[in-house]
Amino acid sequence: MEIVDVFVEYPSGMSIFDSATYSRGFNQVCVSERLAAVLRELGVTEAPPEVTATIDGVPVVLQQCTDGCFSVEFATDEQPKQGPGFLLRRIGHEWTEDQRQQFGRYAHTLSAASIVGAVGYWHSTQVWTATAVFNIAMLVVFFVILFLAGMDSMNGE
Amino acid sequence: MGFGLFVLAIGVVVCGYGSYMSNLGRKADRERRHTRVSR
Repeated sequence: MEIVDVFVEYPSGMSIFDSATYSRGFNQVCVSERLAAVLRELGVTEAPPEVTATIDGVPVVLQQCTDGCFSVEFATDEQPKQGPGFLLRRIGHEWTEDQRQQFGRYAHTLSAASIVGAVGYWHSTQVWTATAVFNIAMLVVFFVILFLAGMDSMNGE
Repeated sequence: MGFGLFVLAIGVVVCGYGSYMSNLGRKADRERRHTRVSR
């Protein structure tokens, strides 16, 4: 929950400036009962207003919901872009937060497998050749890289 | 040598593709959260 500025502008030129509560999780802006009553009252004689809120310094358009709150409207050109084909659409579609979380877990699983493999390889090696050193080095390097990639992918953003 | 190259190939593909798609998703989320409106 955070406090945001709300700006109501009527076609007649009348405008109202107020603050409201923004719920980032629900993408909803809840105005005060006072402002809601004023909007109801003015709705009788005025044309529908444009309601905007300033969220993180950026003005966004709000749409009134049936429960009196306002939902943040997304511009249509911000919708996920459709790729040229089914396969490209599925593979090239940007990941959601849950998918990024799952990728982080997968990377950590591979990271753990890499370090286990490196230790096993180390203990089973009888003759230390350049190939054995290279193989173990690759496993250790990817233990670190996969761990960092997993942590970066599940950073909560 | 072959095993190390296999690990290298798989690791590069997994890390590269995962990081790329994660960044795409984050960028899309940020743009959805902060939609710009021309006034």
